[in-house]
Amino acid sequence: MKKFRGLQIFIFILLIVLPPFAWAELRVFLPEAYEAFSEDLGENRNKASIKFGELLTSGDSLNDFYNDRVPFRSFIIKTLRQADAYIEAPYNESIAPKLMKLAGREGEGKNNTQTSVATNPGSLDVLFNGETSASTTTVEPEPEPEPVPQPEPEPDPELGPQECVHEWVETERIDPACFEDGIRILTCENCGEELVENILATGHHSVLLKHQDADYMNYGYDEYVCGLCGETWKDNYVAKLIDTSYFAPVQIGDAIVGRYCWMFYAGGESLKYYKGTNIPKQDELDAYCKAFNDLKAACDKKGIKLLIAMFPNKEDVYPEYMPSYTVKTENKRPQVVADYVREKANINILYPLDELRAMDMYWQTYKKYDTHWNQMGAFMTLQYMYNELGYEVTSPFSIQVENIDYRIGDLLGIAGIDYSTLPADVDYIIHYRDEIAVTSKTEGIVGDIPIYQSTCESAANDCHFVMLGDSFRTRMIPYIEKDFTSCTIAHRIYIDDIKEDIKDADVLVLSAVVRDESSLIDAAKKITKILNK
Amino acid sequence: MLFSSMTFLWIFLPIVVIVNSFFTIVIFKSQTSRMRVKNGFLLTASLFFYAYGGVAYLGIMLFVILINYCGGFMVSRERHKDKVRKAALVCIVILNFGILFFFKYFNMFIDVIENIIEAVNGTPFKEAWKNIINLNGTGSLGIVEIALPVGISFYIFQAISYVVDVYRDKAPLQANLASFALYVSFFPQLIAGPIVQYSDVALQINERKENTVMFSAGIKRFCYGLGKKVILANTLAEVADGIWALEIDTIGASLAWLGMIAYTLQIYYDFSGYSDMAIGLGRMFGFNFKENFNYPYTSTSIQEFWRRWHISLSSWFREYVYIPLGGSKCPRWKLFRNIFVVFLLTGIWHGANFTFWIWGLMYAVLLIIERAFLGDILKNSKHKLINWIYTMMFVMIGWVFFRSNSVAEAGMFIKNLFIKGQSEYTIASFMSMRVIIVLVASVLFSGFFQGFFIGLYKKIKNNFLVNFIDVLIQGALLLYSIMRIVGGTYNPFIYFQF
Repeated sequence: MKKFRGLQIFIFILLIVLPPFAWAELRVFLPEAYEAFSEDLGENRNKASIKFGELLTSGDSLNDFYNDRVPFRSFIIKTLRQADAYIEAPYNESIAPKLMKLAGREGEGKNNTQTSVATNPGSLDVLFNGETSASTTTVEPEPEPEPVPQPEPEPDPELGPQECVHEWVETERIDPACFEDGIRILTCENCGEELVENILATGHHSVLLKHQDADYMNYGYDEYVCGLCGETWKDNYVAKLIDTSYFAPVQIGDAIVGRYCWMFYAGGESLKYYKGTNIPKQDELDAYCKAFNDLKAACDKKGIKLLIAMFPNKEDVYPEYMPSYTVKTENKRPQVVADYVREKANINILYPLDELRAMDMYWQTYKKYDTHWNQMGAFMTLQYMYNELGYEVTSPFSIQVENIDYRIGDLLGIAGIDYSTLPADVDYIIHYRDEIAVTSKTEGIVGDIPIYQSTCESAANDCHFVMLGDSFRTRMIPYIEKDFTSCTIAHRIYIDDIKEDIKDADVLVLSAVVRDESSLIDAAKKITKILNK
Repeated sequence: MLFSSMTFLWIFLPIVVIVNSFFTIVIFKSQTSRMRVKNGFLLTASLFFYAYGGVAYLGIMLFVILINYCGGFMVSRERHKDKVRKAALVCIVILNFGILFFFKYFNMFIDVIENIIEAVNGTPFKEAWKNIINLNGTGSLGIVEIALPVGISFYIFQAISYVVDVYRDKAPLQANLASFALYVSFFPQLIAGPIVQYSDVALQINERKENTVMFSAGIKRFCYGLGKKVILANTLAEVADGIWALEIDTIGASLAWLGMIAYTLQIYYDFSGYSDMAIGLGRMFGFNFKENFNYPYTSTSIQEFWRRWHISLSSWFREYVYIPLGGSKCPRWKLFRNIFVVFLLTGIWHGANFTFWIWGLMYAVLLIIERAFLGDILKNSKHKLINWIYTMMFVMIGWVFFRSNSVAEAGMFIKNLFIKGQSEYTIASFMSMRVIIVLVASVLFSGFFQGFFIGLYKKIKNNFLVNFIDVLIQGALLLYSIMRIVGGTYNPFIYFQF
């Protein structure tokens, strides 16, 4: 060691002294390189500050302060992630399956079956209205032979003056479309009389364009194109394959890594909701009923339409991608609460789990790497809310929807996974009443605003819509604001800040994602108090 | 401040090393004045190091330093008669243990009292007993929980060691308050030991030698220690913590075994890594601390295990409890009593939870059995593998108590080890390539690899290439550890509330 003592001390000093100095010099002399090394890691927060008040009992804030400013931090973290990804690749390919075999789980549930599509619940009709191209089974009437003009009978000389013996010639023709009748105009060459004839619609001349087998990620379907009009549509949907083989639950922090790169949330009581291990007791159910009944009574007094909404947890909407947890019951807490409240309290309570699951046939409704729904999930749930409240419903099939790639998500943040290494997720741009102008009273990015208020003169519904919810509410804002002349959408914790809006409301929606549904009781009590004052 | 934090590695340590080296270069009137300045600087750095974790706790440590410094004078043979010395010793030891009890065990004491009151007021005895064992306080007394100052168990034991050593004339009285304060608060061993006995370092405080050989040896020890803590122990902790975080009824046998093995390895690499860093840092500043671990998982009996595990604590109890009680040179029943007392106290010292008591008592029983008859059988046994399996089984079961939050949880976990079948989680849930590599490396480097290659190592340890590779490995361990620590600072804001 003697010969290398100098080298050893040099390396040690280099690694503990040089980085802070090099960092400071980069910042002063090479700001471009400094910026390059300071790449944003997508942590979505301000850097930690020192909490001087806590220094008496804890130095944590000092650590946090420095940890956020450690020299070459983002460069080191990114390099480490790449190294980890490199190391883990062979594990996922070859070692993990062997481990599963060792654990005796590889053979479980090999009977993956191809099942038929679940019947859409009746309430889905709200969105279909018989006008979806996707779900319409095309009736293809046999093309009827074009009617040939019958020759006029020979004139009878005994009947008096001779009538024209028509000789019909087609002078004008509008061809029928697949679902629109055509016409042809026949003109008599002798007398010029015109005869208008209807040509029946032909129906689609469907040609099978593509057959897609169902797999674990996608529904199967047949895609047709009409030989006449060129329209394409999908039909004969077949449900996704359900992978029932054992999939080991793996958690990174509060993030669960599920099948096919889907990620889920394990924080709080989420897993209890999914496993069905937190069924409410009778006194809890009674507490819900009492709180909601009181709120309903207060709303009725003021003439406010009330809707309580519980937005499903992603884990229940996409259970097919969840790891192999033991689910104790399918009749889980939110369903039990919803059923009980509907029965005992006679209150509009929405829990659109079946609806969102069925919709997956056409659109993905939750984000792969995030705990929240995507634009389509929010839009569809809003339509179900409108339906419950008696407002006009818009079918997503009747408006333009664009697919977009979407990779980021809060679950990636929790797990510290670099999104660039993952397959793209899908979200949608829904062109909903683009022509309507809205005046927002609040500045900032819609998703980040705790209390959002807007007015819209040309909205279809002349009333004040007030919604209280959580992060799930933000994706509904772009649609709600166009449907009501006045709207206030706030997080539940800001109830006290929108007292006047609540009193002035025509419609009140109190919502929560299921994993936070217990907060509905407190929120209901607070609102009741405000309304009764 | 932790050694495995960036504030320590990139701010505190470089500053202390550079300034201390500066004092080595600067010309002083005498070596004594150089040491005085250096000690003053190291004391200041150590007090800052401790205050970093909470300024309020610094006051408690300074108080302990002050009373034991004064206590040293009270128990010194040169200054007082034996009666006074003895009385002073008793008072100071009681005062030290009183402080330790208040900060470490007061909450536990209150939990027990609250449940006794509940039992008196009519709560069924069985329920109250269960709450006592699992330390579920009722809060009926409304007493605020006392926060535990970091490292209090270590520095109080060191302070007691000073007073007793002076009382026994084993070490000279330290008249210099700063030098005594440095002994108690020296940052390398302040937070997690090793527990340095005063007689071992009394001379080093003012007459140590610092040179590049020591500094180099310190670097090597520190780098390996940091690697043990950050690369091995922290990765093993991900597995152990993940399994212990599950609902106990979802843990099947295979997973319970994985959790127990992972924690067994984690606690060794965590603690021995920290001790290595402390010993390494000590050497960088010229101090020689005694070893704290000697490959305990290669032991083939419980007695051997305790000669190899947390040596500084065992030595402390042997020196200041076991031997004063009579040690092993006494009637058999007294010997067993002494073992029982020492290991009960060892358990109590580790934490304010009955799980630690049971852990300590388990060892007391095993050691008594080994002393009674089993030790001879193990010694004469030709099947050392069976000895090793026996030892490790009990060591691992002991760690289950050590890791569990309550006695009930530990009981359930042990039941799952042997009874529970398959559950929804498997070992694959907690595996990754990194975990597999770390598990294999942890098992190999816990003494087996070293034992196997010891002969070879002796032959090649001065080989040019081996030394060069050794230096590169140290650098790589330091670099990778820093990367992993920085990686651990990634802390995204999770958009849940809004």
